[in-house]
Amino acid sequence: MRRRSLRAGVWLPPAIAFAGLVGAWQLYAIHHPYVLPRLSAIKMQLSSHPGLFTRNAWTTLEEALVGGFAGMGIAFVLALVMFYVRVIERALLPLAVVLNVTPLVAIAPALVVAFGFGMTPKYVIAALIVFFPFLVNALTGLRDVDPEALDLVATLHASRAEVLWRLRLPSSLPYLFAAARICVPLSLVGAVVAEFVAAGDAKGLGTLIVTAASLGDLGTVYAAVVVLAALGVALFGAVVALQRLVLGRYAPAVGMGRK
Amino acid sequence: MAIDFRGLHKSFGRGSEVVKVLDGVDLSIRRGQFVTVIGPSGCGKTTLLRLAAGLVRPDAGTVKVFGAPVSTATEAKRIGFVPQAPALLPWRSVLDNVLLPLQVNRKAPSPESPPDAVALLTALGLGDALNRRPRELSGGMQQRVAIARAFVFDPTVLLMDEPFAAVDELTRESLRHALLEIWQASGKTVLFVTHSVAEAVALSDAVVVMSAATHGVQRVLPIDLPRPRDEYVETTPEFLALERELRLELRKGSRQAASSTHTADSP
Repeated sequence: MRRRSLRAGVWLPPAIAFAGLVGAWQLYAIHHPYVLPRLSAIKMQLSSHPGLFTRNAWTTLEEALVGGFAGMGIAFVLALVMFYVRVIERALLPLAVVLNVTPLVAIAPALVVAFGFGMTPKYVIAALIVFFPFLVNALTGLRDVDPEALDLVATLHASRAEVLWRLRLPSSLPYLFAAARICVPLSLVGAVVAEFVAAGDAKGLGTLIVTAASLGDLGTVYAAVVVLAALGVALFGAVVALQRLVLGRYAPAVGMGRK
Repeated sequence: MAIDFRGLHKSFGRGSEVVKVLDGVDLSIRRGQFVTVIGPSGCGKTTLLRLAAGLVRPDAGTVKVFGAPVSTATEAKRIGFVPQAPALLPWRSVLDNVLLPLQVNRKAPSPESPPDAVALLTALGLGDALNRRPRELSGGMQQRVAIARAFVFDPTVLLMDEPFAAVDELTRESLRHALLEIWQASGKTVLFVTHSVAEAVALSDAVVVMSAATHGVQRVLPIDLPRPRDEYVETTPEFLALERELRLELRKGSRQAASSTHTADSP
């Protein structure tokens, strides 16, 4: 498996695509400096103000992680409550759907008014954006248990808590990780959106983008975008690594010729 | 009586779509007996087993396990259940899957001389697979794990729902003998549902033939072959005669079912 991932057939196509994109970008930027900054300008911004980008990246990352994990935690607890109390699921799931289809950008200004320009509205928005996908996946995961395994523990008179701990939680883990792969990068979106709306705070990569864009400083804008992309990749990679570590138990430790 | 079914009635569905499954079933299974239930699809044999396991409640009638309601038996962990599919947890090793029954409902009285999980698995030919994951095992080996899991907490009654239905004929035979070997010394009462005539005769002290026409017991055929039985029993004239008798009984049942559907359909 590992050896195969080192093969040229695997890394060469994306590498060529990336090189092509960089070349096209550079060609276009030379002739249209007000549409795209040159790559060298982006690089210069990053290398001449490392402190600026690091500081703002930390702020955005903190908003995304605190808000995102709070949102996922609350969604999970609510999924448990909904699972065990059907009435609550019937009452609240339609509301959650409405919340999900309402564009979050539309609610964000109201949240800023309500919670001020500090970190709170950013946490709230990051939490809201991950809430629904995590809730739905957690609910599905809690339900998706081998029915014959449920029969088996029923004949042993296992308690609800035992069934939850021994069967439902482990069975739902693949769903929770699938949700986290969506939600963790999504929380970054929530944090940046919140910063766009509450730009007065003068912190975070979103704020940096808005400020730089109003000054026509495309080099800084794209430098911030590059940092955000790197954050997104790092967060996604961390979730995938953790998933491999935890869910490795679900598959054979040594390959049996199966994927 | 180890298991006692009295006047059992059970239907599924509602309104115009009610399907009658059991209609007045009386059956008693003595302690230590190995009893097989056989019959065509829809005769209610699996429902009968699920009633004894407490997974289904009867519409009328009672099921008693050693004189007490089923719920008393499950609370005390006296019922070992082997479902159709092995139902192993993919995130647990073979050994941890077998230990699962010991980890739930710890309030139940623990067995006096609990069988050792490793010894059980070794006796079933899985001594080298203790730390493997279920997915690494063949279907037959997975079913052996499920059998070990049913024996590990030393229940007095074993309920097995077509446990060998999903494996090929050769694996089936070796599973059959593996089961007989660990059951023979255990003194457990077994209720075993199957589709296979040979399996029923090879395993049982008595075969209960159920009918899809009457939704009840058609006949109880005693199997007086000597024990312990090995694979050579299956080539003896006595075995073949019993197998033939059972086949004829089943054929009689399906003819009745065909004619009764016919009369039910005609106005």
